[in-house]
Amino acid sequence: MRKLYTGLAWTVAGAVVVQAAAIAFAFGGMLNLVSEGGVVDKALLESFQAGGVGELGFMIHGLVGGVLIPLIALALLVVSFLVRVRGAKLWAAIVFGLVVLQVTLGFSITDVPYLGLIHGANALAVVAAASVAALRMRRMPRQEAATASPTTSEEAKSDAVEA
Amino acid sequence: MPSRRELVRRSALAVAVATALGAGALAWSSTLLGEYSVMDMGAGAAEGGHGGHGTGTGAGAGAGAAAGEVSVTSLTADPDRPADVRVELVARQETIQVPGGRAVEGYTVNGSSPGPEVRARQGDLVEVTFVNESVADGATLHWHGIDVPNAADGVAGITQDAVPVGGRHVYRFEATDAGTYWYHSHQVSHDQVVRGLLGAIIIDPAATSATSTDAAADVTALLHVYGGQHTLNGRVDDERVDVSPGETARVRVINTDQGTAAVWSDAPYRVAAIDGHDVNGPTDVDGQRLLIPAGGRADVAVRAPHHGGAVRLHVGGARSIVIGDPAASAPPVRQPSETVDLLAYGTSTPLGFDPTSPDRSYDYVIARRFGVIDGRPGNFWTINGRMFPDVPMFDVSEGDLVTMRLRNDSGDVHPMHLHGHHIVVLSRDGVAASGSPWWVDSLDVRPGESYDIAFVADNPGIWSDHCHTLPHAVDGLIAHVMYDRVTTPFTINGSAGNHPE
Repeated sequence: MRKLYTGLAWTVAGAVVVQAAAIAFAFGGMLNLVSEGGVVDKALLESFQAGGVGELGFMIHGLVGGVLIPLIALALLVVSFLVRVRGAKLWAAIVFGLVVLQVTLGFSITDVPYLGLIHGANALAVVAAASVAALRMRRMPRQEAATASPTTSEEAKSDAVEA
Repeated sequence: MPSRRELVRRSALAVAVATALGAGALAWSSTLLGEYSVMDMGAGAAEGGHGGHGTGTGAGAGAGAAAGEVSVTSLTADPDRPADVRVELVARQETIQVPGGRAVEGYTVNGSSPGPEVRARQGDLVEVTFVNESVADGATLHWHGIDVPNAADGVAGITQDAVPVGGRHVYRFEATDAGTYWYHSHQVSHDQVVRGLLGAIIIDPAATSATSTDAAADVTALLHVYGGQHTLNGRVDDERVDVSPGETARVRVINTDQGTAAVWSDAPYRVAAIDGHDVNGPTDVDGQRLLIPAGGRADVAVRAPHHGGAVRLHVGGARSIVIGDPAASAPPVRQPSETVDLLAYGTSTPLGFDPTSPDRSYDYVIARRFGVIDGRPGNFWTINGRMFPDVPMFDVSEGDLVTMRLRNDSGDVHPMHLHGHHIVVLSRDGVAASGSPWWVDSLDVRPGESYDIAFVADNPGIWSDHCHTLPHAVDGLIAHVMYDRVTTPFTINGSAGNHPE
């Protein structure tokens, strides 16, 4: 379970790196399209057939950010309840919360462009939180799980509050 | 060997996981739509009203052949009247040759996309025979903006079955209102419209009509993006209109794309008509752009310079029309950031009814949240807080004056399109309309905006009322206006393969 937790946390962090790469590629492609005389307008964006170099980047960013990362973060939160390590639930919850915020910001950027400033910064917060979650698991001495097991499960549930 | 406590813990966990998965699967499968009729949608729709009116009488679906029920198939134009305009339109699934650009896979009408421009005179009875030669999913024709009888509305699964390959369907309607319109498929429309199953239809004013303008030239400017290529009347190229100095050209801009199109020029122009309704007392627009919603049309009058030369009218982001001396050049100009406000454009004139005492009053509030539609998870649109198919049904009776508050609580613009009727804008964000009556069939509602609109229920049937950024309609942004006692024998998702969106 610890391995799964660590793996999921690293996957979230890695997926954010993919997101940064995809969106930079997407805007590069869009600028390339414009520099070659193409026009980007609402008609083009909504047609989902721009055919430009960077279009794949927007698709990846939407799919990974809108579907994949939220699902992994949710899985991490679920798994955290099965890992009896101090702080596991708290950090999974932080990751999940930041991801929810990130998705909400992403869907609101069209309406309020300034939210993009937070969206970019919050991405780094997601990476940081997911990395901390993964690293803590490695740093935690194995016996902490062992010392936790003889105690009642009610105590384990209070991890999130204590940490 | 695990302890007993551990065994208990593990089995409790197993039961919990199994229960959660089971409940999840049950919840998921309950979203599957299967075959359904629009008549079964929108239970409790009358709650959507905010005026205390509109206690729906209901269509009595499933009540058997109650006396007075009318099938949508019987809501036709006079069947005995001979047609004045006869057209045959043949749809094919094939490669579209895009002049000036690269070919794309799509759909054609009579071998090209856009299809042929249908032209009729006001009062004519138009009869179009539609033949599906090779569109695998089936296809229909919807007459966007023309208030046709319901049987001719062309919505697969509501007013007809999608026409299968080898099939044909006859559309008959009277061309009542002069203006600029377009036709397009309303079967799997988010794909078939985007990929070209469409064309223009222009209804010229009756000879005696006072609205026949003094335009020296009358040109159509149909905008469409094919595979990322912006086209004007199907060509990746600008056009020229040859008119003498001081003469006016009427440019009929048709936005067949999925997003708002901008129209602008560095010379003054006039907005002569919106969505097939003439603007009363249009004035010169100078230094402002005109925005046309997806699916909407605008007739723009541009005068060639009095002392020679030409004027460039930008239509959409990429194309333009140069009006005047064919030898003269007119450089492109930057798009103005200010938009002409149609709420206060032109001269006010009475509506012919009193919108302060409606018979029915409804809300149409658009928002967005995560959920599952037909087994497909996603971030979907909601209407009045509820997700498709649990959206309101707007019940009306013939002769009702209906008001509606369209509010957009989402982050995207939505071009709202009501079939079979024109709506008039009463106010936006509480500011009353002060210009020419703003009659539309396609209205952009931007994030945070709220429009009060009204329409007269004078065309019985079952009418879609949806967003014309068509992928949004697929994602649940569609409701219906249903006249009481009107029924439909057609279904969606059934063996006829009807998928209107």
